[in-house]
Amino acid sequence: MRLFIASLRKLVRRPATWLTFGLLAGLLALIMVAVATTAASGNLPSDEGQGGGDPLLLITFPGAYDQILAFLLGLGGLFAVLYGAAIAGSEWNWGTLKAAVARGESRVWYVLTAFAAIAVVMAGGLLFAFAVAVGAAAVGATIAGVPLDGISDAATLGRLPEQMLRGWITIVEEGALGFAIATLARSQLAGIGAGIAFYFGEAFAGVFLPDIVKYGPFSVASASLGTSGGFGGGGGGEPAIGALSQETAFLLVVVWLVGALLVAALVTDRAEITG
Amino acid sequence: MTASSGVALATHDLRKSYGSRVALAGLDLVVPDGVVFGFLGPNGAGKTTTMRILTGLIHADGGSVDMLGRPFKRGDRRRLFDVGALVESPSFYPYLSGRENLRALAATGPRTRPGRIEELLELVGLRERARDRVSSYSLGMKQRLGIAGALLSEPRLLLLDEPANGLDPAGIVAMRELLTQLARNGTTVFVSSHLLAEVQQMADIVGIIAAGRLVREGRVSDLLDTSGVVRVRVPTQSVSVAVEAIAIAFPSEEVQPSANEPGWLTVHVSPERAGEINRALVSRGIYATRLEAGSDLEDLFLELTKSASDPDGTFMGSAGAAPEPTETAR
Repeated sequence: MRLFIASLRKLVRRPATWLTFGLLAGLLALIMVAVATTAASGNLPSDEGQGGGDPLLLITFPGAYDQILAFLLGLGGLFAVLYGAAIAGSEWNWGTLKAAVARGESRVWYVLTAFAAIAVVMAGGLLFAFAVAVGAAAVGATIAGVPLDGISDAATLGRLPEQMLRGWITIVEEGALGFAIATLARSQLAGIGAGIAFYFGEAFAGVFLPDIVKYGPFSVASASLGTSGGFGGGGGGEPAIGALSQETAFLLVVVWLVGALLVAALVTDRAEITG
Repeated sequence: MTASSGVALATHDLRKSYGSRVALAGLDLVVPDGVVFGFLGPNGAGKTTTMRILTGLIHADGGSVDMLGRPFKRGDRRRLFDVGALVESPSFYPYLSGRENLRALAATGPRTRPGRIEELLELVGLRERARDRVSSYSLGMKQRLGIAGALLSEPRLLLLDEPANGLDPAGIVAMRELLTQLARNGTTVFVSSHLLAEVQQMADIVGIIAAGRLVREGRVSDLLDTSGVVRVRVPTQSVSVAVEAIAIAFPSEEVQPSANEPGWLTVHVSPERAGEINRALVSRGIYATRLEAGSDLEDLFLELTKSASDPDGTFMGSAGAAPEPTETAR
């Protein structure tokens, strides 16, 4: 428990934590405010015949909740990969893993505890970003003159906890991939680079090999949420024919999560720590 | 080997290779309890590889390690609960303060006694800067914090890799006093270093490693007494005449003027023959201003490591020790 608390404390004090979730919240807030001010000035393009969806839906409650969540989990997936890679990679770069191992700490326990702390911080970060985005959407709605009647819609609010929980698990899975990649690379920079390449590479490969890529970690994350990929993950557009069901995709998310953590733990356990 | 054998650390035929490069070629070490042990060797000789094996960071290809009276094997991490270590450069979270870093470190491995962190911050002279981020620390301050980290669990065996790195002269003196004090209180201190003068002042016993093997181990005083060297200081303008005079008196022995210390000559003869050297000098009208029996550790080190190296005088050949890999280049 003391190791978990210490890991949590380290993450909370770490600028990368605030930067990651601050940036995520800031970007979402910016989108809401941009939509609102554009609508208020009468310059918002009509979606008739374009099939792109009404931008005002982003700030129209209760639908805004789903829109925000989709944005948050789509963009958040990329941020999670980067964050997971940054935390795991820095343990190698700074030699702090070495110091812990030299004190007799269990390598596997150290890695798993560090990731557990990451998962908790991600939950807090998601809630924070969601709250900021909802606040920004409410402010945006007021600016754009959109009524706020639906903000307290009981049915939507009732669904939110489960959606958030499911979304958190997919974000944690994506973070675990970044974590495992950086552990394999034993480097923060290489881990982040490889994580980004993997994230966008999967989306790109989805164009050519959809039947294989649909089982990829980012594609199953999107599919488990019933979204079509959000930001970069799993390709854009409508769900493909033959796409995985939400439940199957969620199961695969868990498989990827456990697999990534196993890889990180085993690699660390067997590694020769020479840095 | 038992705890009562008086041996804190022993390695037997310890071997390690990185690919085709041999870093340790059968290292045999015996470190008695409660001493400061100086582990000396040129760059790439295998010092850091040894340190990494002793702290469980890497695994030996062969041989064995006994630590505090028990075998230390792969996965036997709890043996390290009684060991404090500073391997290579000190490792910290740059965004945390010195105190927070010690707290983070104390959350790993064995439990740390309450109040221990404050004690150590005081001991290493970082109390005033304990709240500052480590990223603002100088190299010497980081080194002191690293030593504090190594002492967190009040270890019975302390392994320090180049602990004087980055320390100013006052810091080096303080560290030397601290380590000798720890040894007096029963802690075994194993110090790897290339600062020979520092080790000579601090260590009770030294082990000299070259090309992955131990080439000499023993009490500093014994090693220096048996090394068969007399050092003579003469007026600098008389050096060449003095060399000639000694060479005539001792035709089969080697006489070397010091490159670093003008006026000093090193004569490879038994210290009992120091009087004969003086007589030879006087016969040519040269009066020695200093005459010292025995060599310093530097002479011995150079002599031993030179003879253990390959004919080119390097340690990097495929049969010699490998340069020790780091992650920094990755």
